[in-house]
Amino acid sequence: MLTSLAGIAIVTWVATAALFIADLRGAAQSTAELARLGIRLAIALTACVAITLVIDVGVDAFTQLEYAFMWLALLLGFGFLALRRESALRVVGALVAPSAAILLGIFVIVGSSEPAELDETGWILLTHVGLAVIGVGAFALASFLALLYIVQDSQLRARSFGPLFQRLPSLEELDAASLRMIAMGFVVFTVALVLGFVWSARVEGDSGQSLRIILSAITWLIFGIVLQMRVSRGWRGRSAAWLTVVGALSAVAVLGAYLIPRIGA
Amino acid sequence: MNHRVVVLGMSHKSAPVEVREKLAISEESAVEAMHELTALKDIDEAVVISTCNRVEVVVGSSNADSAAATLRHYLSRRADADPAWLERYVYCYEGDAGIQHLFRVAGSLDSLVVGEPQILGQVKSAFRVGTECGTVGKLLTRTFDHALKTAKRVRTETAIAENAVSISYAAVELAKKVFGRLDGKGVTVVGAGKMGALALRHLRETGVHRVDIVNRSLQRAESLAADIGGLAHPMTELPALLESTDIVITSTGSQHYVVTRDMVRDAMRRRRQRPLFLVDIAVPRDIDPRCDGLPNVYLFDVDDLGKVVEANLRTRIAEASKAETIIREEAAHLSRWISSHEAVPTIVMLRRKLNQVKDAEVARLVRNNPNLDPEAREVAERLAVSLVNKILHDPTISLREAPDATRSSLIRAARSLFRLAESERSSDGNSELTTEEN
Repeated sequence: MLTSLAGIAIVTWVATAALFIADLRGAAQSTAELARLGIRLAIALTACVAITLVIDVGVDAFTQLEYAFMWLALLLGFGFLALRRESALRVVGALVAPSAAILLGIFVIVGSSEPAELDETGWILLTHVGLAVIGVGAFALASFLALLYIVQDSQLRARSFGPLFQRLPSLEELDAASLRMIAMGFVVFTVALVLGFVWSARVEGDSGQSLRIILSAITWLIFGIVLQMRVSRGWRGRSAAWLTVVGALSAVAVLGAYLIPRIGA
Repeated sequence: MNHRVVVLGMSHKSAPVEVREKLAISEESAVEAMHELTALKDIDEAVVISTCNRVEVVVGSSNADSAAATLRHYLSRRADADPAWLERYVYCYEGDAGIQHLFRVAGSLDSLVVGEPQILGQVKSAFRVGTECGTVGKLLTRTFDHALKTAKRVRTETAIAENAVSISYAAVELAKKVFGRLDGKGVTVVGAGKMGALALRHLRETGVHRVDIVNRSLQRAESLAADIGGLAHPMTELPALLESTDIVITSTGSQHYVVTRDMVRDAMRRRRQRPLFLVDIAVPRDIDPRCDGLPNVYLFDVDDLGKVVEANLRTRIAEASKAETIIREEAAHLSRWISSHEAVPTIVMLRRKLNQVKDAEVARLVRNNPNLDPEAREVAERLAVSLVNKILHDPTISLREAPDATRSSLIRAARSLFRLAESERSSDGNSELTTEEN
């Protein structure tokens, strides 16, 4: 049931991604409307997957990192809903949709591992995982906006005024939205990181633990630099956008590092 | 005979300006022209559309061929021109073609710049003048209402009116792609030339916060500042202004760069890399092109703006095919409505005749039975009404919904079968579209 539902959600995300991309390439106005309809459907289906998972496995749905991929897909969907309030930012759906499809795909392929045994301090793990997913989700959205910034900047500099240029929002809108996401993600990720250190000190780590800690620290450092430079020195533009993308890749690598023990097994 | 729309006129596509100006009708003389037109044979309703790119007369007539000939004669007399000479420049559309043409005009598909917004207002104004002076009846009211509705549909459902198609608007459009909203932004215009002033006027409409005008002659800068609003500065203050402004438009007649790379690089350092949008519409150029390579500096010259206009025109032309589909769809809708009303006078006559028969028979019944109690009389009357309605139901539907090809013969057959007197058609010349059956 869960796998079938997730399969339908993946197909919907993929179809939605195709519609968003077609819209960016200058397809008819109805394509954009269909894409917006598609993404709402995909989010609803992913929410159904989440509810089914919680019913099936209970609290483990929130502590096992393998499930985090599904939560991250759902979170990207909600992030899109929040961003679409500024109508020009709806194009971010072109990156949200394929990413959500990939994340759900990983969720289906990886399956579940041995659940962690939770005692009275289990809330630490629970909060760590929840906040880490929110933080990574915010960084991912910030990097999508940064990527769109880079594309729009290139279009302007190359004097390419086609449909893609017309559809993409202004540089300032993309830059401001990306900064908001980084600021929110950084606060949440910092708390998640501290709780992660506390939890890892209490339990015996697996083979990927050291790598995860290093990658988490690098991610935190990158976004810390981006945020500090942007807020205190007004740093912006392509270089800030590129570093945001690098930071988000590092954040995704943290999640990837959780899969290493599974791959080994 | 059926009421039809006839459009006769000339436009930038069919006639050069020296011909169009001969026929041009001012708004004041349009009222007089519309009254003259409706006084002519076979012209029941009239609206005159006269702009710098077209002069068209839209009329409603029950004899389209005769109306077209009358209009040709009227226009050649009005322009004091030889009818044969005028004929080379005039087009005429009747019925469905006329409706479709009017819809294309209102939807700005027939305009010199496809998608320009002025024509919709001009068509609306012509219709309003016609309505006010009483030369517009039910057919043209319905046709113009539908044309305006279709034009709005074209503008909202296609991108035909989106994006700039003039150099000065293109500059505003590009600025919006950098900053998003322009309210609260500062603009500096370097040079008090016409193009810079035009771009500044467009930027003013977007709500820019602060305007600074820099010119070698401070007097000219002050004159432009007084005209558009803003502060006048001498050229020496330009480097300082680059620090605080967001948009710079240059259009001086200088033979060398007025804004250099070093000047912009220093300004960017002081403004903490806030984006700077530079538009150079001068030839020779006023801004060193190497400024475009600096981070967060966006420089566009007149050729770049031309590319924006070109790309936007291409988009508009691509959107025109979608607009044509909407227009065909809406024109067919209106044509169906007009056709279905062709049967209305016959239905009215048929109903009137059967009601007369019913009234006569009820009266005869009362006359022959003086002691008939009121209740029985009422029952008989209700029966008669019910019979008439039931008998009329099917023929009414058949006449209304008959396909266009057979409707005329069906109407003739109904009139012949029921001997619907020609005299009953009195006042139906107009009632074909004004009379609704019960």
